[in-house]
Amino acid sequence: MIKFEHVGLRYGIGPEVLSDVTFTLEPGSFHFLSGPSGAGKTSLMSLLYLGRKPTRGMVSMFGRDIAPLSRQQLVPIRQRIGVVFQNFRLLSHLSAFDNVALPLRIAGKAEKEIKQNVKELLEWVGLGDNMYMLPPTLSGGEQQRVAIARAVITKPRLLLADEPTGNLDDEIGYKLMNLFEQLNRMGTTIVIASHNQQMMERFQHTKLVLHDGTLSVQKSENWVKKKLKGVF
Amino acid sequence: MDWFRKEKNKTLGVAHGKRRYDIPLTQKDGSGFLVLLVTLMSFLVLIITDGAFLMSTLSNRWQSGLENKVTIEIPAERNDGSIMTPAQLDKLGKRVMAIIDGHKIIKQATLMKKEEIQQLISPWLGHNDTMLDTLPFPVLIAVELNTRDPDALKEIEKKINKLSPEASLDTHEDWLNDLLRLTSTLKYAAFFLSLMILLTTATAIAGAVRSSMSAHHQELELLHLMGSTDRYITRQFQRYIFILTAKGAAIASVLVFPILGLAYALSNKDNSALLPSFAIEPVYFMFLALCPVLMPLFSVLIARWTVLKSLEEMP
Repeated sequence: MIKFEHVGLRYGIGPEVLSDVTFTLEPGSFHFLSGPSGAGKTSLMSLLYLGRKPTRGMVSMFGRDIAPLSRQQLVPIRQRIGVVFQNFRLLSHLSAFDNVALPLRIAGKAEKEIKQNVKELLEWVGLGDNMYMLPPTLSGGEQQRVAIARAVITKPRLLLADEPTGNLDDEIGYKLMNLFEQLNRMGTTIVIASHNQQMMERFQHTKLVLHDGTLSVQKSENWVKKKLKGVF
Repeated sequence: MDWFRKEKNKTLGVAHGKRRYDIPLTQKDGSGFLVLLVTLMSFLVLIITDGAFLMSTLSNRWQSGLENKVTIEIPAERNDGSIMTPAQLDKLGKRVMAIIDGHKIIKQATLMKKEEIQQLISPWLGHNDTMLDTLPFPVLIAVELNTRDPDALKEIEKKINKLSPEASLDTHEDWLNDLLRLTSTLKYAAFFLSLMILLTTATAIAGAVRSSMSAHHQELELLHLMGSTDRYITRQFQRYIFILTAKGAAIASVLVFPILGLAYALSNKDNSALLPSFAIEPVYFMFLALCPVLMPLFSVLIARWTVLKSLEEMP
């Protein structure tokens, strides 16, 4: 479904921050993206959510090579991707409800459907009482939950999350990981950038490890079991 | 109470009212400046357009009023410098009347009385009866034509010149054409000025939109990453610009009324023989009423073009 072949990325005339990155994300797979700070995790995530184009190599998403696609042709691909940004990137003038409703409004869903789905999801992530609060008045953990709710509201085919459980206490963190697993079981491909070794050990998934801009893949037991069962 | 609820919600950080824009266009904006600019520009366009309408009315009145009229003048002074007596002039006038009366192209001919001629020149010489009595007045005959036939007019002029070589038949064409040329030039100048004002407004709107897009670059990028189309983003800017410019144009339309009232009062105070009284054409009222719609529509088109062009630069 998502294929990176010999992908390189550099900013301006600087050195390559990603070099010869090659991997494939099967539909319905679950990956952790790890590596030390400055290894290129955020750059790789930006390539995955189509925030930028690679300087070399080939990126194919949902069966389409993205290089020749125009901005307008990228729209339906972007609508299939949910992103939880490290700094949340919530719109501070909109309530938690409107932030979560945004992807549905962009997709042109009816207001009745939006109201029902958003309320349900916000209640599920424990923000039922705060849904009309503005993000600056919410705690870091609450903002993160709004960001996660916004990323999953459209049931995306690919979910990218940059340190999604970083500001959350263990209980809510694991609850959200369970939500990601639930989405994954429904067919969503998930990539989570994380430093949390404990969580990565608890939830056994394939690890994409970045080091100095180069990537190595560490298949998990889970992956092997799924492969043997023919899930991919 | 509504104010209190809004203030309370603001303090508590609760969103109040309906969501208007996904991009925080009403924050850190220069909307006041844009409203003021559109108000001034619309006001200028309305005043200039009113001037152009007035010019058009004037030239139409001049044309229709003088189209079938000519004036025959027999000066009191002969070519040799001698001055005719009033009795001689009176006799000559009657003989000219006899020539033109009954001619097929003449509808009506009126020999103007001395008092009427005095009234005509009074704007220049005042009402000093003693001085006016001593002046040698020409014979003036106001002629109304059935049709304007240049050959017949030449024939009449020839016959009159046989009686008095100094006599002339004035078709008013020369000075009327000069005036019409002047009004036509003024109309074009008004059109050009309006165009320049619209261009300036368009440039200012495009600048305001670009600066707003630059200020909200982060939000625009986020919407893009979520898969919003250019049309989705453009619609928000269009709505924002429409509301601001509609406000400005509506204020301008209201502000124009006192100016028109003042112009009306001034023009009717001093009744000029040359200038007709100030009257607003119904078509101008229609333009006035449409301004709060036309100006925002024009602005929306500019905003749309600017946003779409700017979005093309995004990845």
